[in-house]
Amino acid sequence: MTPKEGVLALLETIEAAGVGYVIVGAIASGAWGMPRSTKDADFVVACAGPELDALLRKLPPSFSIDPQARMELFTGTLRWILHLEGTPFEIEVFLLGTDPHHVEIFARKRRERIEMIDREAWVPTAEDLVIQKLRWARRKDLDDAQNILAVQGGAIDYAYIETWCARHGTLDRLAEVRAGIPPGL
Amino acid sequence: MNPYQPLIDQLYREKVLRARQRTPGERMSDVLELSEMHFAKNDPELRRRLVIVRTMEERGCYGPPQPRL
Repeated sequence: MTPKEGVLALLETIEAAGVGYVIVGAIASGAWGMPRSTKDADFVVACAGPELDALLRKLPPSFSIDPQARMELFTGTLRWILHLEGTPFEIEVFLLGTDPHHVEIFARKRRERIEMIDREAWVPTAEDLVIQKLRWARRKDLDDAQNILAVQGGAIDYAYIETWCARHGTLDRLAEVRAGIPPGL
Repeated sequence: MNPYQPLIDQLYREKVLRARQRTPGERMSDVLELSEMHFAKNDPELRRRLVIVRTMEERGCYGPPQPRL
């Protein structure tokens, strides 16, 4: 099973079950910025842990699932890690928790075409992805944030981003990323 | 400062401007490829290097690289 097939299989299983979700991370960033190489896909789902367990059991046998849920450090949400047999590709599935920005991401989610899987899926808005990327703040996250801001240009609602960055203490990172965009863009 | 920074910035600007003009259904990877071809149209060696870099970048996201080199 290729990474694309794996992501599609999970997506179709989630949608068939009627569970709310958004795809986040690098795959979603490609919808608003520029695609880049990634070794994982990240989903956030709005359901309870047992419901997610039951849903994941419907996946093909080429998926293997880490037996224990793990805690994601930034927001304290639980995540499941799925491995695709024969590839280093992983899919991380986070439960939607009470983190205020995660809740906001869900409320504002958009249906967009995702290039990696060549179909539409739910993703955060460009602004919400930038806010999330600034929170994680690995080098690749900051690059993604910069690409989204550069490509979206004047369509970006900076006031909205700044409000959340002030709450998260990431205004300095936002300034750093904006400074990295070459003049004239 | 990286001596190649002005070149990197120029290419980045080219990619961003083309990405903004992307038509519905047009693949972003095709947009980036077009940017490189236009950017390095007078420099075959630079164009070849850009193709190699992008192919390596796409490896993880789009499966095995296509035989484009």
